[in-house]
Amino acid sequence: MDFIHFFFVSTLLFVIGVGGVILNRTNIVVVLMSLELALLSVSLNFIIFSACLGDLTGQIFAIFILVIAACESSIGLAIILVYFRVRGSIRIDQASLLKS
Amino acid sequence: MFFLKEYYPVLIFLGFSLALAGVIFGASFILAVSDADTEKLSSYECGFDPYEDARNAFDVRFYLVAILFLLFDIETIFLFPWSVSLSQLPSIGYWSMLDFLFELVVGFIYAWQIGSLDWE
Amino acid sequence: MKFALIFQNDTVAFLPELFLAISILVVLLHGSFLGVTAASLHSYLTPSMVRLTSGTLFLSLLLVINNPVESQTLWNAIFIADYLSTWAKFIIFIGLLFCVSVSESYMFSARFRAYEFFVFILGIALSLCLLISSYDLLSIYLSMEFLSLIFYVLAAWKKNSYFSAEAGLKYFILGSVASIFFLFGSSLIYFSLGTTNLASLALLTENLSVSSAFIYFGLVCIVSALLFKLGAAPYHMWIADVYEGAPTLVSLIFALVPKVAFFVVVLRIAFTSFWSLFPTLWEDFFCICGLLSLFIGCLCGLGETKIKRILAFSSVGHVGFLCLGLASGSIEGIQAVLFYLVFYMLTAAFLWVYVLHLDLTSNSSLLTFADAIGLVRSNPFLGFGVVLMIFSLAGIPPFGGFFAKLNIFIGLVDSSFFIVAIFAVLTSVISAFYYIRLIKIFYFEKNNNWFFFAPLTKGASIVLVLSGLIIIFFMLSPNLFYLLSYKVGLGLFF
Repeated sequence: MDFIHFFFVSTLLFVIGVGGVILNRTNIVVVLMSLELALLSVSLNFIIFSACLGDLTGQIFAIFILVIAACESSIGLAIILVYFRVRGSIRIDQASLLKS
Repeated sequence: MFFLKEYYPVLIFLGFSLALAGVIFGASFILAVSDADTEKLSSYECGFDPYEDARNAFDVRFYLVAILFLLFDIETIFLFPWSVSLSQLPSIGYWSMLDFLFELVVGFIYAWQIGSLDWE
Repeated sequence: MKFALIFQNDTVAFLPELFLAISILVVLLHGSFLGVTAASLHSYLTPSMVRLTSGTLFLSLLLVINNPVESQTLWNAIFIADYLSTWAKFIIFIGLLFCVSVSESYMFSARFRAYEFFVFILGIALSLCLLISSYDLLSIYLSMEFLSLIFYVLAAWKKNSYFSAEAGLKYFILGSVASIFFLFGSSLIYFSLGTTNLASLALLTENLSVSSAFIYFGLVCIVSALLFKLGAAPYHMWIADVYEGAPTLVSLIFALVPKVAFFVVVLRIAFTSFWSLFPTLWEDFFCICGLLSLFIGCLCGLGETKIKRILAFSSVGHVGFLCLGLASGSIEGIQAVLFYLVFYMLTAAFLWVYVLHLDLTSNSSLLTFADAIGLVRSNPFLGFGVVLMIFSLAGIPPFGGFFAKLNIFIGLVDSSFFIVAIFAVLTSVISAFYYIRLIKIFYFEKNNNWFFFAPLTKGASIVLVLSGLIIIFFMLSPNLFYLLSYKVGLGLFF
């Protein structure tokens, strides 16, 4: 089994996820989705390495990452809700009130 | 019949499910009192009008219910590996999980008290 | 009950954390049940919450000091209890007690009627204790996420303020990206070395002759994520916006307590686990981060007119000094870092309590220099105290900040980083300019409006007096801090 191919897939997913956060110009919910994609790719990474090494630590790490990802997305949605209630839109370009 | 000997459990399962579905449906069909008016006969869509425009303002109460469901579903995720491996753990394994469930019950009581579970 | 024998020692060593966890549940239930009757009686829940929270923090402090466990790994080697963890938890609890004592009057004046804030403070205490005791990449990540999730909610606390919502959103997005990089780095370390435990990593990399690219890239990701949470450059972008947009009490908490815990984690990773990578990786990495932080701290601070942003950029500069102390790589470096952390926390406590006092008396939403004018006329003692604190921040003797910076420079020069030390001195001089400009505004500017005089509250005075006395009269009795930092530094090495 050539584990390096699986590693390329998950790294590609990670790069797409982080790129989605950085290169996004319009929608905040798209940022949240990209964050979830990146977390999922790291979780996949841990499971691949756990299968490659025969160690159980990676799978335990992956379960904890799943749980934290769920909690983080719920808090993120709550913050987006508060922001939307105050500002009236979810465009990121307009989030520049705090610039000096 | 001897070719399909291993599929006997599937046949029993099929029979049980047909019987159960028949009992439940038949009992409500025969025994229930039907007092129909327009409100009860209309189609149901979470309290909305079903043939309206799909672009309504989103009600925040649905979001709250979804988030509470997500958190307790995550708790259930932790229950699965624990229940499978419980026979090989000492008694501290049992009490750790009960402690975790207790903490989530405290969170549930908090959500109940501040009124997140009320619909209105 | 046989299970009591397996984890008995671990439970005894973890009594502060267990007490904090149970008290979070109790305080949460107490607040929710009482909140129902309080709303119907039109009474006010914050004083009882303040007393509960400060009582809990004080009892946890006593539990931490009287811990019978000396120096061993706990809970299947995921956590550790040693001198560094005991004294770092002590500092954290002192900082949080400062925050709680200041919060009562602030919440009354700013009309925050939410008691969950105090449950959050207890949650911050628990997560910081767990972070300080962590000895495995998994427990570091879980504690860090616990802390960060609470901070995201706190930054967006004011529900009808544009700035608070935007600060919370920015902090959430950037902080989550940092946590994901931490995870990616730890997955690479796990792949290349087969374990996530810091002690096993120390044994595996002890005589490392050949390192793969995975280890370097993974370590850079992990420490970059930790430095992001501290606010070091080149990851400093969020600090100014979040410190300014969040409610001032929350900025106080951000500025005081997390830095100690994150530096403890960085110390454990750089000095315990990957000590053999020092000449190849850590020296250059921490030198670059430190110099960039100093540079950006002094340059960006020069152009700012808003007080909270100035304090945010000065904290970036101080994190730069701490990174340089780490870069020197000797025991003197560790001692200098621990010493500087304590003094930075006390000075930041004084200055942020002063900013809190300003925030209550000004009627604009963003504090600028115009609000700071005339401090010496409305409250001469406070003005003099703030002046002495600013001298300490700028590194002017004989106050505590000078000795902290002196220790860092001694560590740098001992490890032969001469050019770095000279550059640090030059940026320190340039950043002293915007500190002294604040003093000029207090003493010599004329105001066009009426002064608004508000007396200092009791909680604020306790914090100001304690931190002010320790820093201003430091030279009279410096032994305690030096001895403690030496003991803790040696405990990390042996």
